[in-house]
Amino acid sequence: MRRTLRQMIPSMFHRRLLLLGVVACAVFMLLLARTAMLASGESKNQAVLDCAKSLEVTKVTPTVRGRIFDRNGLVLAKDIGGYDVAISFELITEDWAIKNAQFATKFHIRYVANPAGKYFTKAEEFELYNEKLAEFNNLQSLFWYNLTDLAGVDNEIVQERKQEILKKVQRQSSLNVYWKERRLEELWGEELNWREAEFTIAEESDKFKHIVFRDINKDMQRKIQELRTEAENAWLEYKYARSKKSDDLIEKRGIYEVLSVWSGVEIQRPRQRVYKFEEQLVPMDRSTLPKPIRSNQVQEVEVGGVGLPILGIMRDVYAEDYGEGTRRKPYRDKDGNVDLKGYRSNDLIGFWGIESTMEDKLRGWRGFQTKKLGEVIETVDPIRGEDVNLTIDIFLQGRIQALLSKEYGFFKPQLWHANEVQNLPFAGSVVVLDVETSEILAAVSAPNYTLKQYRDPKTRKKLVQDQVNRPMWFRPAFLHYQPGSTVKPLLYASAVTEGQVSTGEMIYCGGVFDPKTPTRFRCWIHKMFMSKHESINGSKAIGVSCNIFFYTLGKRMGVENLVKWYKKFGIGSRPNSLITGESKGDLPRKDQYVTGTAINMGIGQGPMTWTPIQAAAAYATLARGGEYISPTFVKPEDRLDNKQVTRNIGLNQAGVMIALEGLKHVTTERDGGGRFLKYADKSKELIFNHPDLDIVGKTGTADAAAQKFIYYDDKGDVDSYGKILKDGDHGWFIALVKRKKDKHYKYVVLSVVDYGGSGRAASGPIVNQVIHAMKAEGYLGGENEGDVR
Amino acid sequence: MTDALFDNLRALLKPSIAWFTLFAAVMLTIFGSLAIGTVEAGYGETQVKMWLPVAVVAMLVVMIPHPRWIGHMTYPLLILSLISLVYLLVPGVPMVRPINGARSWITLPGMNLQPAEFVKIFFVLGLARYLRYRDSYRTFLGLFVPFILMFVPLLLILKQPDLGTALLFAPTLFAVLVAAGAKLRHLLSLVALGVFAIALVIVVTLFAPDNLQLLKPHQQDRIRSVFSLAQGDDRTANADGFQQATAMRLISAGGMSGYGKENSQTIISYSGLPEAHNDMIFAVVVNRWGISGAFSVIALYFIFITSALLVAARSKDPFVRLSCVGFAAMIFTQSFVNIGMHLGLLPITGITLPFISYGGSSLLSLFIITGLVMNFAVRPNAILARPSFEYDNADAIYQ
Repeated sequence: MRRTLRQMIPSMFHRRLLLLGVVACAVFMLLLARTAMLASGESKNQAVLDCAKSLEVTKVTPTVRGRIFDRNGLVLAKDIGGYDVAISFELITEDWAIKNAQFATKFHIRYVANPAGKYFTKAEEFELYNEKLAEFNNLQSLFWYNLTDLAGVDNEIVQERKQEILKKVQRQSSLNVYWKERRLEELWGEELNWREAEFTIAEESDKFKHIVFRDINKDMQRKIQELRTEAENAWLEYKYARSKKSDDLIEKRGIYEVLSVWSGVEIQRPRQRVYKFEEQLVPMDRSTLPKPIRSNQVQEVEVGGVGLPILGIMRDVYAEDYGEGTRRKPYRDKDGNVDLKGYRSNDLIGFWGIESTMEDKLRGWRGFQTKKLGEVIETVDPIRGEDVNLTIDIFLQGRIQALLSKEYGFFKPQLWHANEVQNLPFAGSVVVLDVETSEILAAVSAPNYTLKQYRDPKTRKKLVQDQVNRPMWFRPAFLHYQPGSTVKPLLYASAVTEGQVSTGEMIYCGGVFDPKTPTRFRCWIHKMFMSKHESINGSKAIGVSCNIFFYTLGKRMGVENLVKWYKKFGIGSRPNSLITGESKGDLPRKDQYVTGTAINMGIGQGPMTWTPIQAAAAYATLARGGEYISPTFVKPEDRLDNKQVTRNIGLNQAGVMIALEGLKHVTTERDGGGRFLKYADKSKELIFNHPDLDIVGKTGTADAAAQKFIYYDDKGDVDSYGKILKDGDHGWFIALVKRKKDKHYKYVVLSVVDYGGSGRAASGPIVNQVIHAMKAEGYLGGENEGDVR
Repeated sequence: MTDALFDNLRALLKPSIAWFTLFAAVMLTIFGSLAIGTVEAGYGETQVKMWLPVAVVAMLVVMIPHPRWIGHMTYPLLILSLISLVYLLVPGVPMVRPINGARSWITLPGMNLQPAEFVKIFFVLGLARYLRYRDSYRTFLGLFVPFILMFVPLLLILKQPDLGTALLFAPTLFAVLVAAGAKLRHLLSLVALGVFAIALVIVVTLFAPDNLQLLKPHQQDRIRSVFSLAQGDDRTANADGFQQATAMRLISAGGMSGYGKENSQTIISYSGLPEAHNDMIFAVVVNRWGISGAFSVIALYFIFITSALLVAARSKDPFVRLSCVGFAAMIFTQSFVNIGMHLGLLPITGITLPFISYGGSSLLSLFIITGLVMNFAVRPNAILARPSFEYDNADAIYQ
């Protein structure tokens, strides 16, 4: 073959040329074949589809978040239209000035200096850049000044908002980098490092505009639109002048440089969340108040933050809210799939309360419109989020909040309070719960905070740092106290069921539980008056709150049995009332299972605590004769899969009857612990002034550890404790209420005052006024009954 | 003297194989201007109305001097062009403005000149001049000098950085050495070494940890995206491999006869294909005219290259022979690399498609090459000073 070739083409050069020609031909054939392969068959069909798809432009249409209603159908939270101002990331950082100074320097050299025959050295160029940088820094500062001025917002708020955005972008970027790394790791099966990160962060931050001012007024919106249009026109004119190399190029560039800052601003039109009854002006009747503060006037009390801890608010969504491993999905996942309910930057998400727990129900689906070459080809309408109906009555909530306000009188020391609480700032909570359904009609924590206070960074900081009043705590669900004597009726009914005491059994109270240790386990009557109750039955023991009777029951039951029964009443597990920050309450650990613990737990002391909401639910269980229904803030039909827990705990009905009789003794008998309000001058008056109602209940004065100043470390964990801020006992009053004509108790009304001392004095009058408030709002046969409901 | 000049000019107009070269060059340029006009209104016209006349004038100018004179001027011009490359790299010199981070252009009034385009021509001429009377490169060590001749401009161009242009030098050198009669086993062992080095870079890019990587991150991404796209994995299509994936999609969608001007315009503008009028012009060609467009373009390249090789075959002047092979190899390599990256066979390198992509310097240098080939075609006979590189050309005439 080789020889033949040599004979045919004797010249080596020509043989080699032939070789090169053949190679070139073969390679071109390969290219043609590959082109033909790509441009035919399946890959062609797919590409045609893809190309058709690429002609489509899809615009997302925003959705509306579901509304939140109170039990009477009043809208508590809803979305309204509004305008937000979003600003490019480079204007939020210093990058805008740097970038523009670079451009301006280049422009100056090319169009001003070079044509005039001036060429720059590196040093001169740097000097010019610095001059330009100073100019652009000024422009940027002026821009922020003007914008802040237009919005009428404090500069500090704007600075804080900028910091928040920087933080958010950092989070977002690190998550994007994480995703990107994961994707490449999947592809190459190798672990990658952070080198890629630098690119991604720059891209992400450059592209996005971030909302700095929310809900601006029409004037500001119009002004910004005007400036944006001017900036756009200036850019077009400059571009035109440059393409035509016209004489006014430098002048046009100058105008554009000054206005260009406004092209980094964008007016967005999302929806604002408003909370309608968050502020209320409540007319409060003072004629039924205890003697020292009683008058015939109607006082108007202004309250703010009504229901706020229950409703919650919205905040910016963070990347980790919808990152991998979370329930929620991003708007566009790493494979490019779109979830119309998913989240993306600048979205809002429920922060706490119902807004947070019911996020999935409230959040709607975005819609979109796809246009192909300007023609609409597909429209998917947004689906609004579902509404959520709450069990609270927002006006009752407002009234109760008003009566816990300092100006109304209960939350400052009064003549009926014990001496030791005279100088304390008061705090506490009230819960009203419907016995039949365990729906919570009102849950108020005082002192509290308003939306305005929370949104202003300065006052928010004060709220968070206020260790004396702790306004940020939602006490009804979060704070857990020892029950004290309020646990006695529950224990009695349980002990009867367990057969540890018979319904007619009398137990002897000699003042002390064990005469051998007379200073340990004493009855309150012994502590205060060196007296005793002597032989006493169950209902009277509850009525006079005899400690010895319940020490005995506690001892007989033993810790294990007590824990079992208290658990049945809901202590030790979160009530799942569908708000955030619920506590479980405490029950003894295994190593605390000793007789002493059992005796203590007989009177609601020792290693056991419950939250006011748990307490209300436990009393409702007793009132229902042993049917436990977990408390709820959301109407049962709106709870989706998260249904209320219901169970019959199997209480002996005779035991329940005697326990309820005991509660009646408390408020109706002369020796009942919750009948009279007593004053220092030995005078007294009835706590409850509702002749038309049956009100029974139990007082409780619970031991409490002192509230100390807490020092936190850098991570926000408790570092050490400082001076004592508050000390004393917590004062409970838990009442069951019904109209005379009703067969069953309708509501649990509960009040607890932190470090308020005696439950009778601190909480009794509050419960009485809550019942007045309920009547004013139409419950329990009040005047307005049937008005709204 | 004047008579001789006119004789020369008359000779130039005689029909020769190089007319095919010119035909291919002009057709490709017209094809290019139409394709450019599809994506950048106005640019196509500029290419034909402004750059083509300039390029044709340059072509006519280089057709005049006799190959002997061109041979005499080769080394000084090569050195001059290398100096211009060095000049580009000196920081702070006037008339050099980095574009997209590359110091490749000298700013002249009215145009940006890319010296590397001319270095390509003088490199081929210089190489041909060096090899024409030698046979030293038939030993392995004798390949040393030709390689040095390649590495000097190669490194200067890589430093700009302009990877695309730099890529053309090695294949051109190999083709010229093959034609000049270097031992194929020497060349193949060097190719094997090169392939091994490239494979090593690819393996390192794909599998080595970050601290051992040889290439810059964006170059690594490009190599990775070629592999992932070839495997049908389109996960990088939205990020690193966007340019290549979009080009491939536009080519696939072109089908047999393409979309036609207006549809193609819309599709390409919505696709967001970067550098559509420049590096990625082949995608535009196939999208607009389909496989037939691709076939025409490739056929025209084939005509250009074969006619240049035929000119080499007919000539007796060793300098002319090797120059023509060099030019053909250069155009071949450039078109192959560009089309190959469009078809997903090679990574994106930033190389233009000769005659078709937009660019003044590029068109100018390409028509200078065409002019040289035409010049050489009409002067096939040469008087040799010494035996040429070819050991068995018994019919040579010596001075």
